[in-house]
Amino acid sequence: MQCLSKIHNMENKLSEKIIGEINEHHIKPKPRWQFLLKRWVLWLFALLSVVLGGIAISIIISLFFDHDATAQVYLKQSMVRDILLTIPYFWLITLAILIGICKYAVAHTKFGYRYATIKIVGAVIVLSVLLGLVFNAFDVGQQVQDSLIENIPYYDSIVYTSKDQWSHPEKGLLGGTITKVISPQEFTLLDFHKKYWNIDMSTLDSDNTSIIKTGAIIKVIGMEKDSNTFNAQQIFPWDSNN
Amino acid sequence: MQNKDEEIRKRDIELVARALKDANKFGDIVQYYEAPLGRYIRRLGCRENEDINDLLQNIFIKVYINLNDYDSSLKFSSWIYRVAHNETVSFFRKRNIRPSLITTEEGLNLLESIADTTDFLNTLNEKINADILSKALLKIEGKYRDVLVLHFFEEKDYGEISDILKIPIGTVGTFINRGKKRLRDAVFIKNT
Repeated sequence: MQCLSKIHNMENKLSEKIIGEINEHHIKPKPRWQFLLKRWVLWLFALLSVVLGGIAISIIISLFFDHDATAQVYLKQSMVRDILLTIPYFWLITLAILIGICKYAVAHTKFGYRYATIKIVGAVIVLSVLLGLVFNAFDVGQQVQDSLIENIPYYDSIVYTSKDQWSHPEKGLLGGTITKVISPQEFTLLDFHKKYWNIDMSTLDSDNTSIIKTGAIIKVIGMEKDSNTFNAQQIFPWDSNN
Repeated sequence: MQNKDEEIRKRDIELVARALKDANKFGDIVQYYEAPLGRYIRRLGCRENEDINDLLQNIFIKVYINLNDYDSSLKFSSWIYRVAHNETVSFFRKRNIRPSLITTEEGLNLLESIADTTDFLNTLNEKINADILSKALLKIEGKYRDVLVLHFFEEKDYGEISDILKIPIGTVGTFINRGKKRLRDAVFIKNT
């Protein structure tokens, strides 16, 4: 009881003290827009994370379908190594980070704390996957992937694509762009590592030379003759399934 | 009960609106809440009147500065308790001190409150005194102690505790159940 009465005596003094402090130091309530801005920024971050997560999913899907089964046969890699190589680690890590950012942002919105982590993360994953499927239908993942390869240095070294699969002349696989048709038996090709090759078609098994046009992107199965020459046995357009 | 809650809600919304228009009216909010907040801070483990006074001052200044952040869809008491809780926890952290929990009288009250909802005390052969309970409460993790204090002392429901501590309602229930078990274990260990 004595304790409560002490607190009560404190109260009146405290009330005056606080009002005095507010007036003396001209303390003002922060304007409402500051709080609204903070909430909007959090929601913006959450939204951006979901959209970027959708793009990441779309890229993961495009990388999955980019995997070339024919090349796999020639590369003679074990199934485990093949799976380990084709897992898009970079995009999976990116996706995990985006989910983390989104979870943080949502949890810090006004009533975000009311939802369990598992519910927020689950919802973010479901939304990202749905958005990723929509993006994939419009080929967004492939376009972003191409743009990143073209504009971001070393990006292509952190993702394993069919271009990597078709960059093994020593194993009989070569891909790239035809830069010049020299004769009906020979053309030059710029591979995906910017190296020029003379492609000898005299060893070609099939008569599939109609696709040999300057600027065409192709896949060549054959044998490396020397450091600059490749004997072609089969040639396919790049976007074919062989 | 619901009518009373609604009355308090309306009163609080009005108090906030008035305080936003005129700083001197903020004194009304202070007067309504300083006693319950003072008790709450004490229950959280702050023992010195001087510290409680300083904390209350900081809490009310913070409340005033952030008054525009108050959303009337939330109970004002939940919001102000949240500020009080955060400030008190931060005070303990800054001072690097452990909360020294509850007075003997309050310990007995808590003991009775918990005994009403769980039968673990019935299984005890020895008589537990408030001192043992007080020490046992000190042994359990802060997150469990926080929900027990809010639920049994402050008589807050799960929704209010969720809003005060910013945790999901399901987690509040889990923490209360676990907290009671931890408290029981702590009492048993102390008693055996």
